[in-house]
Amino acid sequence: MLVLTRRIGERLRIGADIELVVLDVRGRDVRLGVNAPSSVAIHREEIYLKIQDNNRAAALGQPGLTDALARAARELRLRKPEPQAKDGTQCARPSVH
Amino acid sequence: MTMLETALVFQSPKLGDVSYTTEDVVRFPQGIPGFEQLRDFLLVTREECDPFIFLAALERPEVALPLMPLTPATLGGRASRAALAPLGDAGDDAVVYYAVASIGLNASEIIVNLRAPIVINLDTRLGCQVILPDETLPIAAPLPA
Repeated sequence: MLVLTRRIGERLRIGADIELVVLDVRGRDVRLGVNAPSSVAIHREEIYLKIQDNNRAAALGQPGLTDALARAARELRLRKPEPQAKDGTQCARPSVH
Repeated sequence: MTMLETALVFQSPKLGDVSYTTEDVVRFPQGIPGFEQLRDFLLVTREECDPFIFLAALERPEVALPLMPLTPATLGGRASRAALAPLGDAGDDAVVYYAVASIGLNASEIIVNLRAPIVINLDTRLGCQVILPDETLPIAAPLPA
């Protein structure tokens, strides 16, 4: 990890397009500003980690997930008897969207 | 049709054999959180799980995320144009939103992630997972009524 010390008002340049500035320090809180292209996603790490965990749990098969899905699916279909097929141009095959 | 599409088969341990063509593949240029290296996915349906579908990773067959389609009523918020820029230009109905579904603390109930929907541009076949800025949106919401 690269470690640098900055004072309030000082900046970091990351790559060609990203700039980080220390705006303020109050006690333990550091206020940071970031300038980056709008296509670069910037998030607090805690939220990113929560979403990582959520995706991994969903993807790698929690025990009972398929059964719970099938049950929930039945309940949803009972609640809303709408046509299940979407616009036909979206479905290349019966089993693949 | 003047050209034959080559039929390919994806062998998924969870979903069985899935026939598809290269046009069915949805590409995630940035992967998704937790699977940042994966790029090529299929959207696969299973009748018993409808309306849930599965986002299956071609490069890692054991990875298959259950998704619930989001409607204007259930979608917590739309991604900004900037966030969707990597997906390319889209016609009116080409951008679709899904919530990742998983099991909640109550092991028999499904929860859905409304904070970070999977967004797919059906015209360009590009997708991403967008973390919406609204911090009140839940990552573990019960199924919408």
